Amino acid sequence: MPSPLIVPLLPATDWVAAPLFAQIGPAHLPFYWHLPLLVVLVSLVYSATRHDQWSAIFREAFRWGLRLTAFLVSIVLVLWIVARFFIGP
Amino acid sequence: MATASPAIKTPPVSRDWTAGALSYLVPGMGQISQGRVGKGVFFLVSIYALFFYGMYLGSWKNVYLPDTADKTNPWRLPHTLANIYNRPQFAGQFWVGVAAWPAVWQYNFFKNNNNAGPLIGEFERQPNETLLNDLERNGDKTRDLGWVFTVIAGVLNIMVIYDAVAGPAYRASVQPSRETDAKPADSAAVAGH
Repeated sequence: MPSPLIVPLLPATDWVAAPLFAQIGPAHLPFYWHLPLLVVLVSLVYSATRHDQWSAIFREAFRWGLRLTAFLVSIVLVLWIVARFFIGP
Repeated sequence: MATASPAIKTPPVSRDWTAGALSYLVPGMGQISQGRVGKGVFFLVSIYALFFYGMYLGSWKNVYLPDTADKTNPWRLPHTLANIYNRPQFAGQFWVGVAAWPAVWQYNFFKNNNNAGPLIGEFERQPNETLLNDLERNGDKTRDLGWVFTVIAGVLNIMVIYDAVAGPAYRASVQPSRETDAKPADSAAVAGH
């Protein structure tokens, strides 16, 4: 069975049983496919305004990519906890 | 008493306002004009990718300035300011440059007019209420993510403009060249002999 973290990247039939994302619903899966593009481009452009050397740009972009991803994942977790334990059935 | 090591100074930045204006018009154009071609092209591709991909996600109906001040103007703002207040997304989208100008054109010349105008047709025109309701009713959150992409593209371009005007936030330190270093020592050696 695939790890829950990579489950949302799989076809709906494979991850529908995963508890973390089950409440989001397969109909909304495409929404999350757009976020990696946003994270990558925002990290790279922001870092390119901080440095002129490509090596420094990529290093900083990697760090910002991690921060943004962690931020988005934390929001997903908070929403899941609220949905699961406070307003869930 | 310890002596402080001489600080490595970076040369003062001369502001390049022309490059800033160019980067406002077309993202990265200012950097290209300064000779930073790779970075300029990178900004151009990235900002336009975000902006137009966002428009695509929003069915090409999420960059516009509506004329709603007559209906909603709680702060009694001037007409155009009230319209921006009613759709603050455009305050961010505007900074992407000429790519958002069709919205200004449509706002000025085709307010609430459903006939296609010359050249750009209905591109970036305020959608009519029926169409907006249909999009909201039949779409999912992807449409909302679309305008987020376009706003982020515009706001990121403000940083690109700043980079064109004043350079990157962290500039590489200018190391003294070996020739410059060597000269005083050589002079001392010569004086010693």
